[in-house]
Amino acid sequence: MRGGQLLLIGIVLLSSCRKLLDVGSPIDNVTTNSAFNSDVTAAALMTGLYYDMSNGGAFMGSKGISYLCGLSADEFLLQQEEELALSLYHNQIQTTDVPFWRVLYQYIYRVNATIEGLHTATKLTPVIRQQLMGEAKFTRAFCYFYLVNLFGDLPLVIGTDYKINATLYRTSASKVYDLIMADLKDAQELLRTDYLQADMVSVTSDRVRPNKWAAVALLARVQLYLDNWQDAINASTIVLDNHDLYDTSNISQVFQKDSREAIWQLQPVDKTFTDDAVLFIQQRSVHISDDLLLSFEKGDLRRQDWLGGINSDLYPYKYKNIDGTGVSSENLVMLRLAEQYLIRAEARLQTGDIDGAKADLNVIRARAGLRDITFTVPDQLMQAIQQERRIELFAEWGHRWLDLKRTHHVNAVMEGAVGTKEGNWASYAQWYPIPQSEIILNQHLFQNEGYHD
Amino acid sequence: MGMPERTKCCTLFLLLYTCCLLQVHGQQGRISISISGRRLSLQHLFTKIQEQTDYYFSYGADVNVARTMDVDFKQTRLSTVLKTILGNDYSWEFDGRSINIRKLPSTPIPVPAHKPARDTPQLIQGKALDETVIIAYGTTTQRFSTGNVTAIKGESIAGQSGTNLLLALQGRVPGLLVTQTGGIGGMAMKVQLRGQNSLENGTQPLFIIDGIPYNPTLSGGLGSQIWGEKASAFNFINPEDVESIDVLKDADATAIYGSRGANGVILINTRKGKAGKTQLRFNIATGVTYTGHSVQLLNTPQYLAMRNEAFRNDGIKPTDRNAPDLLKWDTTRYTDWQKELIGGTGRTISTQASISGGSTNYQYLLSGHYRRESMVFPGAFADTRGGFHLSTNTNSNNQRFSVTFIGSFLADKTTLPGFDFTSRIMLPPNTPPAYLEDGSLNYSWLNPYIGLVGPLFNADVKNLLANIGLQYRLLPGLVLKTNVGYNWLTGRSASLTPLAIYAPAIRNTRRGSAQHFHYEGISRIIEPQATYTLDKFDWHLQILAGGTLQGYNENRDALYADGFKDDALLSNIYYADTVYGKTETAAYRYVALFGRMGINYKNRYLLNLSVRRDGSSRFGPRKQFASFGAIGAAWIFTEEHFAKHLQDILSFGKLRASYGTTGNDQIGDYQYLGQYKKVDGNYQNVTGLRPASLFNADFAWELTRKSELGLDLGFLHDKLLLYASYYLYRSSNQLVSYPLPDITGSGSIIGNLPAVIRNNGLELVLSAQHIRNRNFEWASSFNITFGHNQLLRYPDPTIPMQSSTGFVEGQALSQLYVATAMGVDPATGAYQFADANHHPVPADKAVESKPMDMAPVCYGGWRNNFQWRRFGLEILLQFTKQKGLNTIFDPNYMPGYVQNQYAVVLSRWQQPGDIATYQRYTQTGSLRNGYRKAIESDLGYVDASFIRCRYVEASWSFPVKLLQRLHLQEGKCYLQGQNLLTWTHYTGLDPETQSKTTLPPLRMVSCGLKIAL
Repeated sequence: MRGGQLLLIGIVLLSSCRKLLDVGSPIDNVTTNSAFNSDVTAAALMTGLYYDMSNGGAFMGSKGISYLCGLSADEFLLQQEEELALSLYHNQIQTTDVPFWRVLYQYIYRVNATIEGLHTATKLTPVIRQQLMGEAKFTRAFCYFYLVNLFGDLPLVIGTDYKINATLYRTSASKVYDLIMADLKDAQELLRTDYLQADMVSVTSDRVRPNKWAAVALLARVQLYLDNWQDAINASTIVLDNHDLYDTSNISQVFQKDSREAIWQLQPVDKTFTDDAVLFIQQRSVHISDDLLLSFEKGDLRRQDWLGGINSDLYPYKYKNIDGTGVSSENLVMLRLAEQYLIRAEARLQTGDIDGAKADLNVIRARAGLRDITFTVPDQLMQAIQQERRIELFAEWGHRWLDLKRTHHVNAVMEGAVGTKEGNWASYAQWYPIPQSEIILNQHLFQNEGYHD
Repeated sequence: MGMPERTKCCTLFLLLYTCCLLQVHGQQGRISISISGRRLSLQHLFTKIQEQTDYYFSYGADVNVARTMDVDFKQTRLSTVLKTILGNDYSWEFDGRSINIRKLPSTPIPVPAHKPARDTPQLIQGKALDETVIIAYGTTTQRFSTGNVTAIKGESIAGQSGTNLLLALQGRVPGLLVTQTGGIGGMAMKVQLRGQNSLENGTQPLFIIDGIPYNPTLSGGLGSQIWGEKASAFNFINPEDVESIDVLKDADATAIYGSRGANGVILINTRKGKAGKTQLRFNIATGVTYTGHSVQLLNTPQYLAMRNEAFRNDGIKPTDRNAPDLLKWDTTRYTDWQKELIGGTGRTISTQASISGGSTNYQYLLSGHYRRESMVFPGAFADTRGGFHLSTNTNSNNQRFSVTFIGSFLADKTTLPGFDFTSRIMLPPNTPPAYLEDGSLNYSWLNPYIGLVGPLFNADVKNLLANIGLQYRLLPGLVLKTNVGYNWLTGRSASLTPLAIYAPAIRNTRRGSAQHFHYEGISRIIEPQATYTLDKFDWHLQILAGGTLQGYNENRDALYADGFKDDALLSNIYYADTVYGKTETAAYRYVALFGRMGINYKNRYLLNLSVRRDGSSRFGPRKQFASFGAIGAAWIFTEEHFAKHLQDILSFGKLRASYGTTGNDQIGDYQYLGQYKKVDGNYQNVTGLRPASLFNADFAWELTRKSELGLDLGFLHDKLLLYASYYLYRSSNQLVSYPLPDITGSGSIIGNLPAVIRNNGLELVLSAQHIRNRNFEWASSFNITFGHNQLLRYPDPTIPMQSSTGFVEGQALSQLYVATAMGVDPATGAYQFADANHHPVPADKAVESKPMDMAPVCYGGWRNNFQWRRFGLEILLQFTKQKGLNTIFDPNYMPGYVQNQYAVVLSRWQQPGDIATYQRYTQTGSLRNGYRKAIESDLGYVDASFIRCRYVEASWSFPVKLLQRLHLQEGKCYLQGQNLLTWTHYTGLDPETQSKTTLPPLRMVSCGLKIAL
């Protein structure tokens, strides 16, 4: 009988063992589980991500896409000897020193963790949960967009289990685009139309968190890249028609904090200026290439306002503020309206809507103080649109580099450009290599063609 | 491992122990005993009598302790009890505290001619074999143990400890290395049993005090720079309350501790009351402490010559700026900073009083203690402590139910300087005076005496241990037990930095600051158990089943207050301009079921099986529960017929072996959790979060498989005992931070890697318990351990070894590869090193290929007890053979800098062509690379072997007449010494601590008086 009681005690002990072992969460840090128990901590995950995006990383300054992809393309003359910059400039990236990969996959891990946590979260206010899910999916799409355009086929990480992630194979670029599209469409549904504060409830005029329009704007770009012309037109039209929020600004105000043209910005953190301003203005790391300089038409307001310096040694001057005091007057622009006009122009041209294409193109030209385009030959018009993209979007987000690649002009243009860059061009260099350490640590990955480990 | 050395040692001690005679004046106790019960085994009865008296039993294997009987003694005299339970089969004799029992021949045989006379009885069995040793959830004897357990008892525990109980283990336990990190109470103690079993995680044994798991470190050290991050929590246990320490080593002894047992288990049991007359005991002692060893430094002329030569060598002219010591300071002054700063005398005073006694049904012990110890530093720094200890045991009238309570409380108050003054003994010898003529502090230079003003550290620590044990004998042989234990260690400290540390002229531009720390560690445990004992025919069976529910919580708070404008307000945070703080916590839960079965057949064949299934909050959800187990077996071959005719020479022989698995859970709390921490700044005026670690569901214990082979031999009627053990540990499943591909979002994760570490070694103990004649007695025990450690397998070369030392597969974990120094370049006076072809090259081309292992080759101790009439003498020698850090070098100050040096640097390079040991004097950084490399080369390591006279006690017991006149039961005065002598070739302050900047273990001499009323 006593033995029976003992047995019973034993069984009770065993069955409640897991509960007995629960020590709760450490108070020094927030655990993955507890993070999704309150609106404040859940929102802090995305806010922390924006903080890190705005604090070095892959989106700005000397490790940023604008700078490094600009070096890969034909936008800049490099003025310094930093090794990573040189390797991109010469289109000879070392597999031991590859930019973007680690940082973007870290961002992706963070949004994946957020998405997973939000899926199981039960205590969050529904609207906040929805908004966060939208932000996370939008951010994932944004990161994957650059990864797939820079590296090609990718390991498609959508969960947080390191055991699965550490052994992934590369997935074809089209599958990556499927995820990007799906995420953006979800984000479009989930995100609110207003710009929000960090509490995810209050509306603000600061455009430093993505909203629905950011998702649609990025979707328009993705559709353009995928040659889905009509979808690109539809998406960009949604944004362009939102006159309440968006309008083209005066050239000198495009990159201002309160620019009406901005669709999504990152605010500088712990400082009062953007890293790009420091990089281009203070450090003078590049001059713009002669080729780009010659591409500016006479009378282009952008030549005066967006280029700094004198005579030929001109540098990008889109961001102007390097004042370390007071309040920041500029935010880093992630997405802006001018690109949407150019997207729609190109897509309309592809669908045969030449007038529509001209109209969109001329919005941008007019703002730059240039005459309207009048010719109607599609090839010429396409050339004009690409030329306009080159001028309007230079030193921004690697647009030139990605445009060359997607329009298949990269070989022709780069072969001409390498002369002044003192490098050699080989077609394989349009894809960046997978970091060597990744291939060592994950035997399922293989290197891009042309690179040797 | 030196086989010849070992053989030499053995021979030596065999020789030493050949003399033996003994005698005793039996004094029969008229103590009364109460035991009642049905079918109680003789062994059980012995245990009961031992509990109620001061006696213990000593008997041979021919005594059938499994024999059972029904008894009902109520306040029966001991002699009557013995007569009843031993009947006509056995005889017994009182021998001091021992009751020796031997079997009477069944048929009377003629008494041999050499049979000793009655007043010099020959011992049938040695006591050491039959003294109780405490094991996991029970007791056994060395004779019948299947595992490896070393027991330490007696009064020398307190004498040898000083304030830190762990010091009592130094030199006493084979396989156990206890290393002090400094000579100030509370400094960290390194305790390692049988080598390093883990690549990167904790290797401390599990400490259990009266059944309560005790965290050996007061983590954070209450913010004291001297105590350090890993301050020793054993500084807050009163060693005088400790009765025994048992060190459990092999799988058979430790597997029942499951995932906590890999690094061994140390069981500490405190004193308990005994039935009998009420006894009052006092122990009063006072003593002095001082630094035992000083290093020879440069005197003023030598120092000034060094500085001038440095300037000449560098071709630089001394100026007020770069040579204040030469140009501004008085060059005729000489201060011996060693003497000034650590040459003082500390005073200790300690008192302990206890009252104990009780009846059959109730026993108690209440003791109190007080101790005050001042430091060798200048200033009034001291450690004061006091506390009490209470132990009670209550039995029901039918002896079936008993309740024990053990509680102790200790309060400690410590004041320490903000830094260890030892770190300033290398000050130049011609520094300006510490005090000006008007008696005020001299602020014109970095005067160490400013440390007497601040920062000042003072701490209050309180330690409470309480344990309740309930026991109920349900059926004959079946006992149910539950232990409930609780430990609360808490401390508060303040480190005050007053404005007075600044020169009066600049005080108004400065602000005072204060740091406050609060620490709280709470350990609790409940362990229900059931034991069943069955004796049938020649079989003795013991079954144990139980469960453990354990928890530990730790809270650490820190407050930093700045901006005090007045020193008088310093201790009140209210007056601070800015205050910020942080809180850290840790929590641990542990739950387990365990069982053990021991079978003893004919006292000849022993088998022991133990299992444990446990779960721990430190493991990831997929690996939260684990099973561990062990099997141990022993064969007492001297019980076999073939060994009977050897009895006179080989009186005891046991072969034992054990194998089992244990785990190491010293892997930190919460490590498997995915965690977020705050980012460093704001975005949209909010501080966001970023991931700090990945979730790892498979995060689990490190596994150690232990195998052991042992041979225990007793010669000459067990007067000479030899225990030899060989162990082989294989530790795998190592938790290592290893890199992940970036696509996982994290550069690395801490995960279990199938790396394998092997620790093997040989432990020898040789002891003679009874060597005595009428007036003289000599008992002795020698132990030595040879350990070897090797990283057998490191499976993935792509995973970089994270440790700063860097591990190499196939080598010891403690092994480094260092450069080979090739003296000083005769042309330039700079150190040079060997390249791959063993040609001398400068530091930057040196090849680091010379293996250097600082783990001890062997270590041990030799303890001797002498008794001549009323005089007693105990001497413990401790020794270690090892390599250590060469403290001649100081990474921050090369010879020639504004800092004193060891006098050996006099043999330096002076001019081209010189063949010198040390590089030329310099006061620029130009030789720094070579100097740094020299520290990391074989020059930086020297022999740090030592033999230390660890503990000496000389005592004199009062004669009976004096006792009677003073109405005392006992009286003894004694003289104790710690660290009296150290034999070593080591050049630094101390070969154990191997530090230039921390106070070495102090020499202590004290005298005291113990009396019992």
